[in-house]
Amino acid sequence: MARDLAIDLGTANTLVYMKGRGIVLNEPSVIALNRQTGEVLATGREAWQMIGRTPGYIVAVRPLRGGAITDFEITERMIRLLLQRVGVSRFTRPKVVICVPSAITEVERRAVTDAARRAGAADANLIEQPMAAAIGADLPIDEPVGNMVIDIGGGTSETAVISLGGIVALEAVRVGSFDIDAAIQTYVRREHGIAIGERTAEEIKVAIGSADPTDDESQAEVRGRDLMTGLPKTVLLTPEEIRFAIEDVVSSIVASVIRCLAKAPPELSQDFLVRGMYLVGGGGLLRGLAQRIERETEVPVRMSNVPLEAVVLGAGHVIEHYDALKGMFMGARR
Amino acid sequence: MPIVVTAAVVVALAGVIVAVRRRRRPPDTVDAFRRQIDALGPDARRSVIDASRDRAGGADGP
Repeated sequence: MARDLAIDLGTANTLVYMKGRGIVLNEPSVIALNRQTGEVLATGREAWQMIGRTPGYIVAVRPLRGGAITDFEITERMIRLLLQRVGVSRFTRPKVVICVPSAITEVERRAVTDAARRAGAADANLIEQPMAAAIGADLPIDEPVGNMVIDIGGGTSETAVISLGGIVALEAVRVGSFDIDAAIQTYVRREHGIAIGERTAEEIKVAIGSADPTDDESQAEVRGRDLMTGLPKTVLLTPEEIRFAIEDVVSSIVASVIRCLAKAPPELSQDFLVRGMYLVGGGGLLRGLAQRIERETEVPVRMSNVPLEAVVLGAGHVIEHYDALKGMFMGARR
Repeated sequence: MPIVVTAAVVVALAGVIVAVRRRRRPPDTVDAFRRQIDALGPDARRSVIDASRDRAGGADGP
């Protein structure tokens, strides 16, 4: 008998929770393929290490962009391999709950469930990421109080107000931490004339990136390829430069939080001032982001203590109480 | 013998009627909502969240 699974199919990372066991897999959502034969050469961490470093016949790709499937066939293969790795076979077909962005279209929704069913799931249901994040962040969403959660992922940022087990207000933008990396790449290319890869851009973000000035700031040395000469070149980047480079992305995320606050009913709005908002997702780890949101909204922002796992833990909770919580699946309430 | 057959048919028919009526009964939404809220409560969350909190090193708050 297969153990049921919850999957956080993120643009950046895929996490799998197994009923009764907890998180059994946490890997980058990357797959490496042989261009000529179409064979899968690597998935997860191994494939991630290949990004930007492969010979011509190998391609390492992220099959999800902006939280949506950009390549159905590759996503299906990635899900099948993930399920195989956690013990799913032709004879053990588990029920699967998959977390997806709330702004996903009907076509994308069907693409995800079909991919999971073809990959070996007996039944596949979807749950909105902010709802799963709120459960995983241990917010009291069973009570008639305003719980606000901001989930900043690789390709999407979603803010939701949740009360009595349901979403009251929601605001989602297809902007996330990958857009921050892309903004850094563009800035370095334009202002310093060097090309850097997406992994280097991510390292810069982690090292000196911030959404608001912080106390512990330092410069970073960055190596790339000079666009004029084609030779390797080193430049020094400051935190102010990176803040300037990523400003548009950060502003867009903050603006969506403000729009969600504006949508919330007044009775719940007053709860936020006391209870604050909770930040989850890898993008939420950007230095100064909580401080920036707090400054612009005048509402306290708290960081979940499991920011990277909150979504899959929430979905895991749903799989543990499947019968009682199946009314929370996308489509079940309509 | 005919009495036994008739009784069996009556019992079978009654069973079918009961099954059909049960299927037609609208779902108890109040009960489903109550169960959903209970399943989201702190007691129900304990098993999943506490395990993750232990792994995270026991930091304070949500």
